[in-house]
Amino acid sequence: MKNIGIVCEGPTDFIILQAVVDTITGERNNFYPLQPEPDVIGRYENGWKGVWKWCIDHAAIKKQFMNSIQPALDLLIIQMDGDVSRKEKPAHCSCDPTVCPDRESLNPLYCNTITCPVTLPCNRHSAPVTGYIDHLKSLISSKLIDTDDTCIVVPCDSLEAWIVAAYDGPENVESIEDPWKQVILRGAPYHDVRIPRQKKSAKVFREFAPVVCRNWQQVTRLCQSARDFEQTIRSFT
Amino acid sequence: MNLRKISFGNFKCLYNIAFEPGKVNVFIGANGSGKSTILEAIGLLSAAMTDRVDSASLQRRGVRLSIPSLYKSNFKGISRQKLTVDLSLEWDDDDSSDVCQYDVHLTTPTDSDYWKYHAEAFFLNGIKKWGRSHASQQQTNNHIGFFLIDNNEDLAASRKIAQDFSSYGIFQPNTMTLRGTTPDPNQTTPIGLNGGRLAEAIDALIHEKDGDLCFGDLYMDDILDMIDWASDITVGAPKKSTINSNIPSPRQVIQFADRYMKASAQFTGYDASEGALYVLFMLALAMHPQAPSIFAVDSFDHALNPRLAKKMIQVFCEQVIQHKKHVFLTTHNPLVLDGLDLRNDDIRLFALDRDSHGYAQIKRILVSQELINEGQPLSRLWINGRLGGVPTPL
Repeated sequence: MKNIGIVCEGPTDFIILQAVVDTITGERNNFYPLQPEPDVIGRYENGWKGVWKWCIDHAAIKKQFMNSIQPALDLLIIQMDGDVSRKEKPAHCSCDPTVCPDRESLNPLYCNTITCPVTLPCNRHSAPVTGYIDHLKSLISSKLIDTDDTCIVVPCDSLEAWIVAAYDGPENVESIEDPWKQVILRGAPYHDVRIPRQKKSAKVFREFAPVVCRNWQQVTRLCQSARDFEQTIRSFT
Repeated sequence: MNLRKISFGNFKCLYNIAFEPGKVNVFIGANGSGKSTILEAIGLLSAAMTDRVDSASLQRRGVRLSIPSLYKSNFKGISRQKLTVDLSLEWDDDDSSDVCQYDVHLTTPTDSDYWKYHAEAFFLNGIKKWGRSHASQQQTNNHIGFFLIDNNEDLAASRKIAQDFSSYGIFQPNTMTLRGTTPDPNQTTPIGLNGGRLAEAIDALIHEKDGDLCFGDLYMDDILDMIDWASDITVGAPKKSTINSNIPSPRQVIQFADRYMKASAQFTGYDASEGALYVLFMLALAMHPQAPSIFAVDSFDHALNPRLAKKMIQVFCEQVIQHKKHVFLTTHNPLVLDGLDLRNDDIRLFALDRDSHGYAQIKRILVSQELINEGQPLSRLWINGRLGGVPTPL
């Protein structure tokens, strides 16, 4: 049994990641939900910006944060969806050859420059899936500085792709943009799972989680990001 | 006496859980994580070890009465339910290196109000010295605990704990009882589980020492620092000048003077802020000589401003340790954690979480002082999820 901290984009991501890690390790682990938005004063927000901010804020104390509290964290999982690389300009702010006069002075997360010179798709990090995974992994690593005992997972296009892979198993599942809208909501109820108000709710994802775990082999066969995740988790256990 | 280890099995969400308590034990966790259940399981153990287990003995200790089938763990994943609820306590005495242990296995009531003793045993330094089971001759009365009444010589010396443990109760004060307008359904000496007869308890603590007014071991000025609007606290018979005659009042009431008001404008606990009454209640529990030496308080921070709660827990810890008591507390207030000096091994913080099967898991939390000095107080670490004891992201 391991103590595992999870920094993820949203509450529903936490549910799937937790279940998948238990499936991969074959044991019930202790999970610490570190992000999203656990802070009552609202320093962090949901989504990829919250993950990014968390990494920056904890970079300097990450080692102590993991080890100076008993029980210590054996592993930190950081999740950011691949769609960030596909559609968010700030994620490509520091990419060559983009030149922005405000690059050094403004944090890309808070930059509101109307004339942002970043163009998408970024020609250094365009599709395929591996491009998004590599880009976001290196982006998160650069914010964290130290990546010891850390697993960065970048589901493509988002974590819902793993759900679609588990239920439907299409070959190109990681190339489907926004599988939540394009597949899951289109089929509502999705494989008999009702999705009230088309909202990502914990109740709905708790129904998805056992299916993802049961069909995890299929998910890893179809998703590079899932294979990558499993491999990294296994290397820690 | 030191409680060394407490274990529970098959009781509600505590399927298999153990922890090593200190003098002050603070439990944090999401709603429904099992914090109150831990306090109740200790109440069950107290009843089993020092008395018998039935509705009256459980209620006297503040344990919620459930239907029998709900006492035992009822998880989906358990294919065959265990027969007994299993409890164990390990302790030692300050003046001896011996380690004592009491184990009991109880079956929940079926045809009567009584829980039955399936087996109970006493161990000294890991060696079984006494015991009985459902198969032994002594099982003639399986409704009563034999630890206190058996003639076995090995038990005599270890029974000191019974005096301390028999008066265990889960205190959960409510404001109307503290104000004296509602009787306490669980009145015990000197204070009821809901705060009944607080005025009498306080009266026994207020005294003069070398010309200074004291409250137990503290100076009254220290108390008034916490209740900062008050300039004086006394106890006396209710008077028409201090309490409305239409309000039912007990024989004695707590009287406050407000430093912002004229000296003649005294009033009673009925009109005082509830926070002040909670402070007095907690301190009375910690300091009153007749108050139990092992007890629990559910929702320690109830009615307290976060900063007052932080100060309160500091003072409370000092008094509990000084009086060699053991206390088990639950809280939802992050600032209570900032009042805990975890460098002191007598003060222990535990986080409760339910695992993926719903079983309660307990973990002792230790945080290095360096991390706290780096601007990461316990309250922040808890809120940020690093200590556990938080709901899954909402």
